[in-house]
Amino acid sequence: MTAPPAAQLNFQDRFAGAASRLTAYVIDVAFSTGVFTLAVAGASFVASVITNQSVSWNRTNIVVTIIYLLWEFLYFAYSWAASGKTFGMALLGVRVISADGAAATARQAVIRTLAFPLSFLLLGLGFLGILLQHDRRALHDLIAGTAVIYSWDARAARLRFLARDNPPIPR
Amino acid sequence: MGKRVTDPVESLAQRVAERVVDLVVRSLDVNALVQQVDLNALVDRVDVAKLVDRVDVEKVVDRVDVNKVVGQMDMDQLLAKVNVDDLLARVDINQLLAQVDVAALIDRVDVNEVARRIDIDALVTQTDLGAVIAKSSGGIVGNALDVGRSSAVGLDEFIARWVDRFRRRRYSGPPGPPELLQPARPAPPVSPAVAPGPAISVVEP
Repeated sequence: MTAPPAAQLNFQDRFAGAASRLTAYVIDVAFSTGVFTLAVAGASFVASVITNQSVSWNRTNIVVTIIYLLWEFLYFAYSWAASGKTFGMALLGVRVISADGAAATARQAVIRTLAFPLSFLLLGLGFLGILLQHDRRALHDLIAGTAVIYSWDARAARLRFLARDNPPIPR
Repeated sequence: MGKRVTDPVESLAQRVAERVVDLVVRSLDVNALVQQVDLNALVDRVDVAKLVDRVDVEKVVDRVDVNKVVGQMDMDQLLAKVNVDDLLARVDINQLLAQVDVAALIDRVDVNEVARRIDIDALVTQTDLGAVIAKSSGGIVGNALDVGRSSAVGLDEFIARWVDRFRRRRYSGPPGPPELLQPARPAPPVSPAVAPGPAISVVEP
């Protein structure tokens, strides 16, 4: 781990970049889908016990797909409204805020969640803003009036590292 | 009749006396006379204390231009003669400190500026503060998180630098909402003895 001191590169409260956001999103999709799959499997098992018939629900079922989309909506919208971050974002140390720096409102969280698929539907062009815009805002950020920043304190992390690897001098 | 005789005589005597004195003074060798005087004996007979008592010292001091006197002094030479150790030995530090208004002194200190000068890295590695932090912070999971985040931020910067290079723009780090960013502070000095931590790895394109 030879790297420049984080003390000189603490990006806390600055706009987050593409890699952190993409990684957080991948983790979120994997996590939320995993939770949903487990929930569906559990529900299938309970249904099969109650009905005494073999029940196998999966996402080829239109009802299950609709519930899945609803779950994804709730997962992202609630997380952004409640704390500005999803599970994946918390792991990567990034957070959704209002474009003016204030905490994201519930309304912004809902709009962001609804506008999020648009960035995909435009052949991914909606995400170009993260790379090209000064404030690194994607299409869904522009629509919802939000931005994503680093909330991770690299300086504190460096101090923890130093504390672990350099035990104090015994007296 | 008596007065008519005595007045011209007295006048004549006066002129004669003046002439005689003039001749005597002219013929007198003052230097030789002074050499014959025993000045020490003369000074011994002078009551200096009585003389000084008659001098108005304040009046004399008022006429002295102190600035001019000080200006003519070689301060370096003067200070070289001062034995500072002796001087300090005579100072009652406790009494001196008792007169200091510590609260007023602290009010004048820019604590933020002082804190900025502290080498936090050296403080953590060389004092028990490191142990406190190590105890209060997470273990393997926390470490893994720090490393993962560092890598992601490093990749962010790598991508951003390359994008700006293609756009022929100079990259100067990620901006942030002005409302959240505090005034820029210079990074504290990093002790050369301290190993680099799980820092953000920024790869130069």
